[in-house]
Amino acid sequence: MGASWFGRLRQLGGDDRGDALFMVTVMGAVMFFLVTSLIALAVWQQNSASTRTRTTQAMNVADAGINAYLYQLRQNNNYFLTNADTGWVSMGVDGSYRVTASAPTSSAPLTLRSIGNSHNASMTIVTTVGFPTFADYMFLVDTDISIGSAATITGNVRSNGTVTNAGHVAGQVMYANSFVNSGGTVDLGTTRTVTVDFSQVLADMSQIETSATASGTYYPALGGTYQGYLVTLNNTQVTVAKITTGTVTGNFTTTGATTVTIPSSGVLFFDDPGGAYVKGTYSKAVTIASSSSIYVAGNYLKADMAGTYSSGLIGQVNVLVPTGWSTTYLPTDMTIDAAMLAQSGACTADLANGTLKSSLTINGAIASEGQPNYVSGTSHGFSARYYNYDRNLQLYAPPMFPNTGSTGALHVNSWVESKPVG
Amino acid sequence: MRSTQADKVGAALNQMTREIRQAQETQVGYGAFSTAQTQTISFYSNVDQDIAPELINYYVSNGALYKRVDQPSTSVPPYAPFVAGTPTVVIAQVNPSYTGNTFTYYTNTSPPVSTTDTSAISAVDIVLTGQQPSMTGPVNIRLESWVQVRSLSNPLN
Repeated sequence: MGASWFGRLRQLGGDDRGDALFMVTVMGAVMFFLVTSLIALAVWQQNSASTRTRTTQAMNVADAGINAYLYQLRQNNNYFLTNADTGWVSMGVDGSYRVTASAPTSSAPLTLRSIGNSHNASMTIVTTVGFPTFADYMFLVDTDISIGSAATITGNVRSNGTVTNAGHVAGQVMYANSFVNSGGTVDLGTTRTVTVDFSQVLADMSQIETSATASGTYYPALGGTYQGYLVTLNNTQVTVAKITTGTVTGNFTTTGATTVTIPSSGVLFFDDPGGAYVKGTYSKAVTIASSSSIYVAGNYLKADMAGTYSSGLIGQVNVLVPTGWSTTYLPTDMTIDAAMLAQSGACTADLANGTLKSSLTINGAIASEGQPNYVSGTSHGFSARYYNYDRNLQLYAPPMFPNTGSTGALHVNSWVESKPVG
Repeated sequence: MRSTQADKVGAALNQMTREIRQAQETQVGYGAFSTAQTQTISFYSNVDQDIAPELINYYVSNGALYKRVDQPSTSVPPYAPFVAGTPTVVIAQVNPSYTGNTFTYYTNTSPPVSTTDTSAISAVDIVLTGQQPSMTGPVNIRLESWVQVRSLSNPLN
């Protein structure tokens, strides 16, 4: 085919004149095509490399913004309250960043969004940040703690004293004094650490009281012969009644019941020496604090364990399960879904009264100034005890639940390059 | 054609780097990695940027590099159990003559130390290889990247 085509061309021309010009033209066109293709490929690769470089630079600038903000947060855990937007911060020739902070809610932790601009490229990094709280441990105690051979604890254990372990800790053990292995196992090892100051909780409780007052959920001392408050949760509603009799048996008589919605602050504060008797089911983040003790007067349940909300029970003295009550008034199989904190007393059962009940399941956290204890021999407390740390608490601590460190400590829970906008 | 294969390996490395860089713990203290082997890596990373991280798996098998994304079953930590996804081929033909590690893991110490303890890993060295047929025989491609998990290696943590 090729020869015949050339032949016809030659016949048209009559002789060889112009053949060279034709070949030069064809070859020139081919060369032009090849050269322009190579140039286009080189330009594309250069642009592609340049884009990657600039995008990486922009990401690093955004990351620098995150790190700068985290530095400020370490100095002041409330930095985000007064500095929710840094505005554009120049990094000279490298570009500029802007960090905005979204305060934590019951469904989202403290979130930082950093936009980095560098040489006409832009990247956004979103991080979530948490602070260490008293709800970070299955057991956090201000004294020594001894874990029995039958115990299986899911979550971390931390003591300001000595930890003696004969059981199984599915987590880490932290101690300020010493660790004694009595034949137990610890999945994530042991480490020595500093003590946690339980006295600082008083300042946090004062802030909770102030916030509750502003929210209309501060309940003052009752006076007279009242024996405390009965607090019954029903999803997002809380019914508060004054107890006239029945705290010894659990067979209450009450008066003056009122029902409120869990406020946006999420906190209720009870300032009666008789304390607050708490039970029910919650479906919204809530912290109940008492200037005296909290008594868990029945099952205290999270409506949906897949929810991000959580609940805290803070007693300035104890957080106590009144196991002296008969099974008519306190279940023999009991469940508490909450982070509990006893500032100067203990998270414990009433081990001086009543008979042995069947089981206690705690899905939450325990922080106790004194030794937490839910059984005494075979006569008091609960015969079976299940301690399951609620890992949701490390991302979504209950409202205003106290931090363990006022400055310096935080943890980055996630670091994500955000989706491009538009 | 050679650049196409190199681009595929490069794109795979960029994607892996990005996913590992934003890996996160699902249980505080347990680390961001589920599996840390020389030819297999599994880690938690919120690649679809919803409320919960996915379990991302990369593994070399039968001369190819595969990826599988397992979805969380809950929206709260620890998000388990994860529901296994369908594997997809990332690199159809890795270099069969490469016998080194595809994944090597490092601690957050200074200097970093190689480790296989999933709770101690904060950085990963990735070596991706590929092979491209040509008139003069297969051309080997080798790309390497070292990536820090930002949520675990933040110097301010």
